Amino acid sequence: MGELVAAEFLKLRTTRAFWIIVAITFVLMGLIALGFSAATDLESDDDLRFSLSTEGGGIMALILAVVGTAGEYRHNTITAAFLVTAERWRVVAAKVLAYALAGIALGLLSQLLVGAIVAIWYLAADAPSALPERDALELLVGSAGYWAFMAVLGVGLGLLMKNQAAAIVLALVVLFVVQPTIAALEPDVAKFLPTAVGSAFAQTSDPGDTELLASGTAIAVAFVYVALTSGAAAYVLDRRDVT
Amino acid sequence: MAVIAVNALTKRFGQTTAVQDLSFEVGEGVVAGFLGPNGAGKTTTLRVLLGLISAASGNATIGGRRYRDFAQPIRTVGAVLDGAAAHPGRSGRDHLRILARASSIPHTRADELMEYVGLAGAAQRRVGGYSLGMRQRLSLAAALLGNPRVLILDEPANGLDPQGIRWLRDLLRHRADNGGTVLVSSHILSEVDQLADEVVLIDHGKLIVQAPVAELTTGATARVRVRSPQADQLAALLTERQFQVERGEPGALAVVGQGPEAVGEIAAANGIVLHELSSAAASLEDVFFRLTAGSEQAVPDGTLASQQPASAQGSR
Repeated sequence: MGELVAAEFLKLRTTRAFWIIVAITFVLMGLIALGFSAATDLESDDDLRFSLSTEGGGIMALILAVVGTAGEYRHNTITAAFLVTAERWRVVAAKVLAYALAGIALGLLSQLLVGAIVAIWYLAADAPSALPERDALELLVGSAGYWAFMAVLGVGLGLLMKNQAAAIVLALVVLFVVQPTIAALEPDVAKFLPTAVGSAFAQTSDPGDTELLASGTAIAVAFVYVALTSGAAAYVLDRRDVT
Repeated sequence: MAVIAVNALTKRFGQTTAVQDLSFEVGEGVVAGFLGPNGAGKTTTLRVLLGLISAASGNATIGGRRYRDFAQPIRTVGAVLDGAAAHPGRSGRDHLRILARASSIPHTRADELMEYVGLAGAAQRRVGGYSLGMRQRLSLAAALLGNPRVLILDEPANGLDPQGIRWLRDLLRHRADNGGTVLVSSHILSEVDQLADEVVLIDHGKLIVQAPVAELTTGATARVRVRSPQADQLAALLTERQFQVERGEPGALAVVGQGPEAVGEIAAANGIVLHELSSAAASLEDVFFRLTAGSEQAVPDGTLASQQPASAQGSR
């Protein structure tokens, strides 16, 4: 499996799309950090937590995974992938692992970037910028987990949908239309929706938040989502003719 | 012993039966040409062999195993498939390195093969900028990555220049002579004629014939080509004697199933001037058209279309 994951990393870093998405992600995260910092009063812990949030950029990990996996169909490289690795579930597993790791790396780097921008902003404003209740390590782990979760969902979506644009549009519709609609109609269900689950373990120091699951439960639910999407992708790919 | 074995294979796409109860075998040290009109089921058969398409019934094995049972299949089987592409934004070298990495093959093998297929100078260029022939050479390099004993190639000469075609012919011959097995589909019948030891000919997804090339062409009917300013008069005389005459361009005839002696004697006896009188041995092309004559073929939308020249329709 290690060689397949290494091959997936090589695929990632040898295309321009990967580097373009990474660049866009960092620019986006920088703008979000500046915007969030400017929108707060720089007074409370909640203001600081709000400024440091990277969840808004997690969609980029999902887009990266969708572009990479559905791109295998767009460019017909899926044929070569299955000729080299005939057991297709191994291809799916390698992609899940590789994109989870890429999501972790992207999440960590984004969190570091946001942290640096927010620190400079707070220093310039002479505002208190310590991290009470939540240490920097927790923040990094939560952010990395959230981005990895989004990336793995993107792997399943990209492999199942095959079409990059359709998969991205579907993801945006689910995240920004379907989820809010379900949350409005059935508030009790809202905490089980993907972004709420991700937020729950991204904010590990705030288990008292009643709108989110406890972090341990959220991680378990996230694994259910991952198992369902990856399992569905493996099942469908195993039976799909590559013509 | 059969290396490639297709046993009672049937594959349907919706209402269209692409391959029907097809069986054939290819042994060690053999180059087998896989022929048939467009839509005959060649590509479908090759893709079933390579585990890319599932069969409705029957099976296709390589060395007694299904392709999908190989942990690292490219060490046993190399394949060139129409449409098996490389990412256009990636360099040719990186394309090979990815395939090598996934099979635990040293990346130096990728560099060796770029050199071997004549792409060393373009190794760092993006595949999107490659010509069709260069992309085909890259596909061949990918097929050779694991130094496999078996090669399954779908139209590998597409886009290759004459030098490239000769190089490919020598390559395949060399591998077969060293105990390898090659199954190659091609619409360039003259190439198959020169290269293949035997031919598997299918139509409508069914086997028409499997036989050594020499046996097919020896058993086929020869022709005599005639050019004469009195071609019409000669044709009438030959037809009177029950000779089978085909008209070509103005002033030319082809006489089927007769030697040049018989035709020449009739011409001389009637004072007919001849500009050309030559016999032509039956070629694989003649055999192909005779065996697939009047064929109708299934096309992807499931309708039936009359047989067209090979270049006129896309293959399935």
